[in-house]
Amino acid sequence: MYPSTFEECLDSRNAENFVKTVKLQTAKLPWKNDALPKIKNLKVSNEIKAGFAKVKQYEEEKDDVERRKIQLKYLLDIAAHEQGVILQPLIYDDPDFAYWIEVQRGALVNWASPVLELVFSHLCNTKVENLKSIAPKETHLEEFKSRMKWINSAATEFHNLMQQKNNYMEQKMRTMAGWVDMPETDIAFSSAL
Amino acid sequence: MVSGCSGGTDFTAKNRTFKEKNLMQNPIVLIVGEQAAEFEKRYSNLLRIKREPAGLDFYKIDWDEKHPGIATVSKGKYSFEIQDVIGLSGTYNHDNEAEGITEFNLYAGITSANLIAHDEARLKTYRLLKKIEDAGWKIVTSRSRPRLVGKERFSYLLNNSSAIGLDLSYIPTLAEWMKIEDGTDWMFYTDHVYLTVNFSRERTLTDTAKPGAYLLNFNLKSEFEQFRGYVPSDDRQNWKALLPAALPKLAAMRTQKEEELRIKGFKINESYQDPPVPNPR
Repeated sequence: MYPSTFEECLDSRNAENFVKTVKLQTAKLPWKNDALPKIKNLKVSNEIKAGFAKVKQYEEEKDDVERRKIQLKYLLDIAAHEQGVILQPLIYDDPDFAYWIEVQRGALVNWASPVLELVFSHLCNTKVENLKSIAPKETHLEEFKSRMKWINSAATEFHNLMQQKNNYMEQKMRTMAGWVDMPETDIAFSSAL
Repeated sequence: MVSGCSGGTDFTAKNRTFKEKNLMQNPIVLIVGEQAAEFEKRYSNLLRIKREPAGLDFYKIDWDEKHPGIATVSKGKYSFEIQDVIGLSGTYNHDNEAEGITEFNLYAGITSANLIAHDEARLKTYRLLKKIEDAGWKIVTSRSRPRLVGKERFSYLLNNSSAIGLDLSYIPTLAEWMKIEDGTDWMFYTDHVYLTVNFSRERTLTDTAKPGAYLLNFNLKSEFEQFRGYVPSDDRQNWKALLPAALPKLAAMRTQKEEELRIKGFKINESYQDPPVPNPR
């Protein structure tokens, strides 16, 4: 059961108030002065609150079709948080990065540049093209409708896979969970297997 | 996860040929249940097909936001068109080959402009929903939910549970419109197909004195796929046998909720009928 202490503590989170050990670690991060104020010192966002409220709704819901809908909406709330609260101020609103995205779309450099993509597998940079949700180049991340479409579409595909191919997806996630504390070279090696 | 993996094929509108661009401005015909091969043949120049190793294929078309397309939801006399489409994706599951493409997700602007006044968004969204209703699609109340209509349904949605979804018999004021959460559904049914419409609203642009940004999300689903949702994911292949046992619980949930609401003075729409339970051969 999802604990109520989570909600009670939610509003008090602030990177300024982390316990000493965590704060010392955070202070060592080279980007902290620049990044933490932009993401409001990791204070809880409305999106995160809305997302976790859905965990509770999910637990209380007895209609399986409605439960599945809540799962997708939870996923979208968390995606909105990552995209709108973290990535947007940190990356897309940064003039240098916005410029970089524009340049990347320029015809001359397109052929050589990486594309933004979502990955649904533990395999990254793989030749298995199908596992990636590549942001179409017309997805100007600064354009609202296209950006919402990209997120909704990627989330819906992920949701479809989770609903219809549950075993496969859970197996992939177990693989990813096993990466904790593994050096990156090992990940590359095991992914190739 | 957004990552910087490289690779991929370029599907930008600007890299398309003149002929392909023309094709993209013609209506794309969506038929739930159509064989994937047929759909693929009809739009072979436009489709990007993602074949997931898990056994699902996604048939996708993306449009440039500045040059949106049109889609026709093709369902005999219930057909209608959706304008300002910027993306669509059909889902085909290899486990259910005979059922063809069982689901389409479609993304469209309310208008072709990037930004839109919130009040215009409200009125135009309701106009579009009315068009769908006029085409013969009926508003659905989920089988476990109380049969409320109009203003009572709207206030139940705001105060109790957004999972009841909305109907079209009450048009909210602008202030009320702004309270509708992203992803609140209008669900329709006709002739063995379910259609769910909802919107996403850009969260940084919610001041009603200024324009906002919206995306309309459409989900078309076959009746079989809809009812498969009532059995656990691992039992999908056996859904026909398991469905009868899964349904009574839903009716009981509705009855209980309706009794509570009647006591509080809510009016229950007794004449509402659920869409039929499929009778798979």
